[in-house]
Amino acid sequence: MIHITLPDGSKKSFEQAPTLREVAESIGAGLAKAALAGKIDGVPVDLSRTVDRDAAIEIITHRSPEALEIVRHSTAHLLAQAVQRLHPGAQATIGPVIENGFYYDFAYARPFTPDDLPAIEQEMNKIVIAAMPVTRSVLPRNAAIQFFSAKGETYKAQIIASIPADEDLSLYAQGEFTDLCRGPHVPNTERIKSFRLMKVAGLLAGRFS
Amino acid sequence: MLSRIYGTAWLNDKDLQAYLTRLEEAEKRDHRRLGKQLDLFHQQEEAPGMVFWHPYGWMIWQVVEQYVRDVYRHSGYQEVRAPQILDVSLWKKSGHWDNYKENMFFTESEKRTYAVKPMNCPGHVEIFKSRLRSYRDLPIRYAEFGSCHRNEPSGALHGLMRVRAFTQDDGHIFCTEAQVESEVTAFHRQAMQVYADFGFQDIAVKIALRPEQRIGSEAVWDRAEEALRTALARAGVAWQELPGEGVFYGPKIEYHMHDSIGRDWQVGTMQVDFMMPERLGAEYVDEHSQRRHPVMLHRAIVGSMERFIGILIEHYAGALPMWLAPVQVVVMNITDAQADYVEKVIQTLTAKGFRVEADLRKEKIGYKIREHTLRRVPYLLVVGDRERVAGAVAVRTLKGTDLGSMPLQECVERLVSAVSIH
Repeated sequence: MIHITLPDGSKKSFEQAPTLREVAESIGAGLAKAALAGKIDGVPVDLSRTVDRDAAIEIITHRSPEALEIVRHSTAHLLAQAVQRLHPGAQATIGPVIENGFYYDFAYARPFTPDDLPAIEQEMNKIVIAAMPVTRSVLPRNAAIQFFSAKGETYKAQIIASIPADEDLSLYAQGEFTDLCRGPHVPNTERIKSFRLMKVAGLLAGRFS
Repeated sequence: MLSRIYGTAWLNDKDLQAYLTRLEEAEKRDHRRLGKQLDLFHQQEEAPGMVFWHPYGWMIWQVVEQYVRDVYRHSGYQEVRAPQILDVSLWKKSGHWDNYKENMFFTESEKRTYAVKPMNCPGHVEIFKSRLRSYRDLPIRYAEFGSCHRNEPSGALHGLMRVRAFTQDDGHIFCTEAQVESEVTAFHRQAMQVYADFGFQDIAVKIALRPEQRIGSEAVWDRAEEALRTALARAGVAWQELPGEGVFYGPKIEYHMHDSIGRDWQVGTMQVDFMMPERLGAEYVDEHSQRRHPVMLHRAIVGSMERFIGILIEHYAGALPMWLAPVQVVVMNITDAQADYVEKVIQTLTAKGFRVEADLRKEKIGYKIREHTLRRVPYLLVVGDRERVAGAVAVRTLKGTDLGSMPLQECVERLVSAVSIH
């Protein structure tokens, strides 16, 4: 039996450990539809996360202060997926959230230019329309290094190698694209609606070497 | 080859559109663009992060400076001036050498090393120390339009907003611990009045608490932080706290102005410092004839003059209020027949203290009006034969309102009321 406490102080019990999505559904269909992610004891996690202990639960929707950061981060992944579709061989390195949006750094045979952006943005929209589920998995560090090395993502492998050895790593996948990320993310690419690519900047090569 | 692609993302199309509009608006208001268009200032490669002020830009500066000088005078400050470079030994004592060296410029002469001042405080402490002070003298308030240089990375420089050479409306209050609260409260009220006078109503107040790299004991930091909280509570304002963002010698209150297109700018600051007076040996004699170190309050209202003027330009999109406009009135003739009369109008207005220009060029009047409108001149006066004969002027405002012909005297009265701050 799992006992959860909701932000308004009300309590609910579940025979079996529910996912956050199931918690949202048990509260109402409207909330389940609006849900983007959730929090277990204050820690932001995906909707697919199982609540395996008694905990305080919160459902994150567009109205939550955390929503924007999650959506922006998911949009960064969307960008990386579109870039790799259109430009095979482009390696995704890091893609953080910044004020008003996000960026993603790519290693590629040539620098990207503003002329590349419309096609990438169009591809991003295609992935949104394709409504791809976003799924999380956990790998031990070495397995994660192997996973990205095998894909030719040497930058990613290097980044992981710099993370402490005893940590498991979470990977997020949508369709053919997988990225290393702490998350949480939106549950489906269709939840990303309002974005625009703004500009490109060249960076000094060898930043990660 | 690494490239960075930037994007923006929002929760709905309305927010996205609002952001894109705001960006577009910000670009139109960019002070670097307006600075060029309105001939206010320029910057060039030989002086990165420094400003060449042109006559119109310097006029705005002068108006802001005189306004602030008036604030000093009315709130018990004495204006001072300290040297631009000081021997490094002084910066070692003040703690700047250990905590701020990377941001300082140095120079040498006769085997002595000097630092170009990045802050004005040590200079003011030396003036305080120049004679024996009694508790009866406190608080002592010094103010300086202090020119400072800080070695910011060249990549971080941006127009007037992030510079290497700037002038602060810097002031230091030397007081007893018991006086801190009332000084901070009085400063707060004064600062809010100044922001309102410049047209900013929406001000966020924040307290930046002890940073990782700091001098002084925990107990002293506790007292300093608490003093700021108490003073703000007394002034009846709500504030936000920023852990880790204080200066190495003390916590500070930050004033953030919200501009006309929704951006926030940190301008003023009030810092409580229990350390520098002791480090630099500033003392006063208390009522029991004991020597004690005063508390030092570092305060600025507009902050960097350069940056504040940049913010004003963007906030008003170059169309400064009448009292700040570098040229307040342009008087133009329709034909040469009114040239002498234009001169007479100019003399009358100049005698009243207005900043006035004549436009006697042989251009169509519509062309002249358009050009001065683009220069954001608040009042345009047109005179033809009818006005000359009647001793009148036809008045147009920058907003395009045609006030029609009126006697010169009536126009003067209208301008006098337009130039007042409120």
